[in-house]
Amino acid sequence: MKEVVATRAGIATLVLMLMGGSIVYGIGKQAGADTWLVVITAVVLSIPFILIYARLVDLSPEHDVLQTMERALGKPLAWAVTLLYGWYALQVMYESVNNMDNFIVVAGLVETPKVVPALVLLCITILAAKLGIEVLTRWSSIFLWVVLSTSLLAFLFVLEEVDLTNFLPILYNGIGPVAVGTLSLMEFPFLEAVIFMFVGAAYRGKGGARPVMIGGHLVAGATILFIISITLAVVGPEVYKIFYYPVYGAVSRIDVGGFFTRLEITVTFIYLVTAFVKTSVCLIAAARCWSYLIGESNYTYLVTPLALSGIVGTFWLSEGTLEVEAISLQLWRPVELFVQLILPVTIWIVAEIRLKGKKEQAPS
Amino acid sequence: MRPLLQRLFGKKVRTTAEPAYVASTIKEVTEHLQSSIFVGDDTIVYRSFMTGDPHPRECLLVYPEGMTDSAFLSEYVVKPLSQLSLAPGLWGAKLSEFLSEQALPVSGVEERTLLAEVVDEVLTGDAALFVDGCAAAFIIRSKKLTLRPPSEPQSESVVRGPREGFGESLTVNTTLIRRRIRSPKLKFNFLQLGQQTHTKVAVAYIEGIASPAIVDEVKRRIAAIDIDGILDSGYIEELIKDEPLLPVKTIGHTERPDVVAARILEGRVAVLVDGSPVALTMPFLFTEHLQANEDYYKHFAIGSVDRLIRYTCMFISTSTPALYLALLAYHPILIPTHLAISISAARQSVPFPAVIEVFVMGLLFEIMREGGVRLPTPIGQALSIVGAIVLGDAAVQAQIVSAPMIIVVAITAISGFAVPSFYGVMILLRAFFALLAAVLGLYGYFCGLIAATVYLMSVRSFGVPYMVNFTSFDPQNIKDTAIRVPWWVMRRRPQLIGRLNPERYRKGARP
Amino acid sequence: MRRLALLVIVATTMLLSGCWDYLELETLSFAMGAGIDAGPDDSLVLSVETLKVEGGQPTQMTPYVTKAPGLTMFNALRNLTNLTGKQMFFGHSHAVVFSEEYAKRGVGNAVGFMQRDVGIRTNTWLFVVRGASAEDVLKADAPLGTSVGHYLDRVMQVQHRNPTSIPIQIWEFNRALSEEGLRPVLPAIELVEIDDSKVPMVEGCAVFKQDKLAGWLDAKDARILSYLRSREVTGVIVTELEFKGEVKRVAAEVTWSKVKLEPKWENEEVRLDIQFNLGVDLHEIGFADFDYSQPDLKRILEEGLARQLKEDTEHLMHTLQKELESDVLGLGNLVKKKMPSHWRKLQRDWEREFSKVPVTVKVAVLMTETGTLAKPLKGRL
Repeated sequence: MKEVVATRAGIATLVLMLMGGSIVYGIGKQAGADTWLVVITAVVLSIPFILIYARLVDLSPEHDVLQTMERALGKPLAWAVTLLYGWYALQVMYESVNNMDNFIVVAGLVETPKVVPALVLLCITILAAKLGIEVLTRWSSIFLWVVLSTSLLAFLFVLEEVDLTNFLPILYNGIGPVAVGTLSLMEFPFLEAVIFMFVGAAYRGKGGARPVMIGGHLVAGATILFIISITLAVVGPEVYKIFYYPVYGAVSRIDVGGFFTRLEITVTFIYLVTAFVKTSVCLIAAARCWSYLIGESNYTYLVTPLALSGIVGTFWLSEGTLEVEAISLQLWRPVELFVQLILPVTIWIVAEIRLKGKKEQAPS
Repeated sequence: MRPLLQRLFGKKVRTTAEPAYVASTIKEVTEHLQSSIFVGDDTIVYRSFMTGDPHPRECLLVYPEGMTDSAFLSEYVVKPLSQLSLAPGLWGAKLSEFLSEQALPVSGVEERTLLAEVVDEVLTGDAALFVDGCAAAFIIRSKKLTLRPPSEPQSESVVRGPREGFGESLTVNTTLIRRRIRSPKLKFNFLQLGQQTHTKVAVAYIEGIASPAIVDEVKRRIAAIDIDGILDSGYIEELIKDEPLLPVKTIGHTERPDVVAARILEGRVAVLVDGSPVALTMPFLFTEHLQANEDYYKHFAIGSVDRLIRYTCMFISTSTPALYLALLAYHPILIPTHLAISISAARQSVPFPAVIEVFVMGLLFEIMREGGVRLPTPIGQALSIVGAIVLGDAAVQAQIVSAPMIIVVAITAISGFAVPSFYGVMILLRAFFALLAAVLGLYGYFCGLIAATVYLMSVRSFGVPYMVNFTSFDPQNIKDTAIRVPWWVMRRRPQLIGRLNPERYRKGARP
Repeated sequence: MRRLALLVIVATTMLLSGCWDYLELETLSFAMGAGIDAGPDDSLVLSVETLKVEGGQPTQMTPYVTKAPGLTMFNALRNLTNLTGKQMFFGHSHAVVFSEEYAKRGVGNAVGFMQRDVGIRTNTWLFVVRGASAEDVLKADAPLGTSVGHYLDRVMQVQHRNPTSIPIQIWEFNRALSEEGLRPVLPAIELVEIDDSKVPMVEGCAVFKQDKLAGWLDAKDARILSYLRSREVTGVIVTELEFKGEVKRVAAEVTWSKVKLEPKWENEEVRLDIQFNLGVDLHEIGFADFDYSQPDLKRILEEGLARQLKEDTEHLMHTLQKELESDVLGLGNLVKKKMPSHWRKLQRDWEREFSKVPVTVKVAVLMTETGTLAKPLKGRL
């Protein structure tokens, strides 16, 4: 059961999903002044994996990824892998909701209990997930423009604060921090695109999933590079390291004629839109995985319970912003490495070998 | 027409219990009509007369009083027949052939043998002629309905453009469209709805432009209607629309023949209902809320500015109360300093919190609007004076309401009137946004905005995505949305609606 | 039906549990500026200038100052709320003034708090008052405008027309604190008596070491420092010129400028080249027969202006290197960016190295416009 999606709408969704969370957090801050370099290397190094994800989706056009995996790995193994990805999609969803929640509570609603913004976000996510990935992609294709033009406008105003010498000195602390930053940036956000495999979209365009995945990846990479670089050039590497939300800090500097001030609200808007898309994609992917596991063909039944588990999940995940950074650096690394890099590559190799044999057998 | 429809839908449009045929003697006919069909109906006239000597035969004219031109009947039916002498051996089929082809000097005489059909024709205002010895009735087209002349519709007045509007008669309405599109490809398919009202409904489209899938879908949905009465096209709208539970408009309606003609030319389907001056057009897309027929009659640049203003108005009208509330109660940091201070000063002695103010004032305005909408103009003016002076000025003077709040309500209301067809939805959206903004500030407002847009994105009208003009990357789909490009640029019909014949003009239409 | 039930449950939960962050605008008291004075035992006294807002036409706004002691700034702020009964709202405050004594103890904690709190604008201007208390500044008379906070904001907005100091906002101060090889400065305020009223005048700079006040720069030095830090020369240059045995004043406005600070590595030490390139418009000239349309006379004029700027710059560098020994110029930061390998060696004892850096100043002035007059007005006998 796949939904037909236009290529450009798919790209827009992937871009918003990858931007979710990553554009407000000071990602790659380990590298200090070299953060821009980190973004570039992470984008480039991620490309082969993105191609593998796209290949897995395209491997058999009439099946979705879960069925492809079943055909390639056999039922028990596919079941285990699906369980892993179902769990992973949920974790990423919890993380996304949790990060959004922390941001909202820090940036404005100080006294509101954390559960309320999370509940509202989950409610609109449930709506979107029930309406399906096709509706979400079409929605994204509008809101990508809204997000891009809003961020462009906001950053146009800070342009006079930009000091390009903040990128200097290059590689002051050697290659080490850059490598660490690159790895962490590949994990979050770029290779989270692995979840996008499971949304069950069939692409209308010629090249199948490949142009969607690569296009989305590159556009998201360019946008993140633009935003992160300007932020870095405005606030300087030292402050970039200190802030939880350096982009928010950079934009809060805008003061044009005393009227265009406090444009941070645009950051809240962009963050909300992107986090919403990310959460929805994760929820759809998770619901599809879990419905495969329980052998139910219609995933929409699972949307509400899984989303509401997010309320519990977010609290289990972290106690506050202070813990977010620590967790995302320690606990996640091995898991994400496995789910994003090792497993897809293995599945891909196995699938290419076994499904090729199957295809040849089929006509004879 | 009926066999055709039956073939089309595979279902009888109207079923009678047992097919009764017209009796051959006048006595039986009169008996049957008076005692079993039109019992107690005093509007039916039974006018009997004799044909001329030497073999007078009894004739009976049956028609509803007031709906028929009785002078016409006297002159062209009674007079010639009473002077006519019928041969004694002329009976049955021969008689009917003679009467319809030679004896009656009127056009459009039709023979009916089924009694139910005769009754149907009589009830629409035609006369039925029965002649003794002939087991058939002759329907004489002699309708004379007093109709409202086509006048400019009050709900959709224009500064520039045709002043004609639809009336209540289906035949007149179809001619109003036909007069604008003199093409044999313009098709009107009639069908009858309503167990009691037998209302005639016409489905209009241009063959070769309208997508057959959409036309079939419209007909299928209309044919599935099973209701006792159709008094206005609104009944049909509600019974065939997509998303029936939510107030999103997925079927357009208009009282203007030029609008219907324009939509038909784009490949849409129109449905006209007898007795209703409001035509339905479908599929209906979201952009059509913001389009007005006048946009196309003016210079394209000016029309585009009007469009943009309407888009702005839609935003203002749905969001102002929510934004005011969010800024005031959650983000006073975003208000420019002097404005914040003067709002604070204005609110110093107002007893109600801003949330209450927003909701109560919004409600009060809607009450005034609803109270005034069906009043005659002079009383309506009195109402607006009461509203403006008593509620507006006095409330501010007495410091019950703050002045900024009055401004917010006024801006919201005025902008709402710029997009009249969206008004009802806007009230609901406004309340929804304001509620979320009251709880979570701008975060809540943004969430509401996302929910509303995601939902709108999922709506389809007869298979066409409601928001297709916004999501599409194809310039052909966007050029008639926020702006109105010149006609020669709008060379193609909207995709997904008029795909069958996409070209409007040849290239090089630019003057 | 189930969906409706869910909706109702969510809606009622939200409405019944209340709107947590909801606040009424009229219950806030708008802070326009704040002042921090040193209190006994490392405590402080926070004074806040707020507006007493009264409805009516036109709106009545009278500034008044309240103060409360506290152990830290946040503590004092909450103490102030108890005192006034209204929540203090800093979203529209534009100025925070530190007293000299408090600045000597260190302002890092207070500035960090202001950066951390989302309710305070990070583009609030910071000041240090010299020779008076911060409370006095807030209670002083603002020449125009309604409040001292607003007045100080206006003064900072027009500083570039006639720099007497360096406008610094919270985030800039924080950045200078956290970057290597850059010392923070803050504009200084002095209370000046003009016709019976005390007016806060922004003149000169307070120089910091870490977050502690270390010394002062006068207006003249501060002006050049602002040129060097913003890499831009603005305002008016006045110089004295000798011509035909007379000494008269000449004033010119800078229209465009380019300032280059270039650290160089020569003979195992850092040198600094400062290069000014600027275009000026002549505004005033004291001589009656100085025909500036002639190229050599024009050159005399340009050289005179250049000499003035050069002398002022050398004066500033002398103050910074010999008296204050403080790198408020950001030379160390520049060295780190341009010559990272040398910076590794220099950073340990940078302040001492800085005081020994040889500085070369080069100024090139180009006069392009002279207003509406082609020649000076002649004072014939």
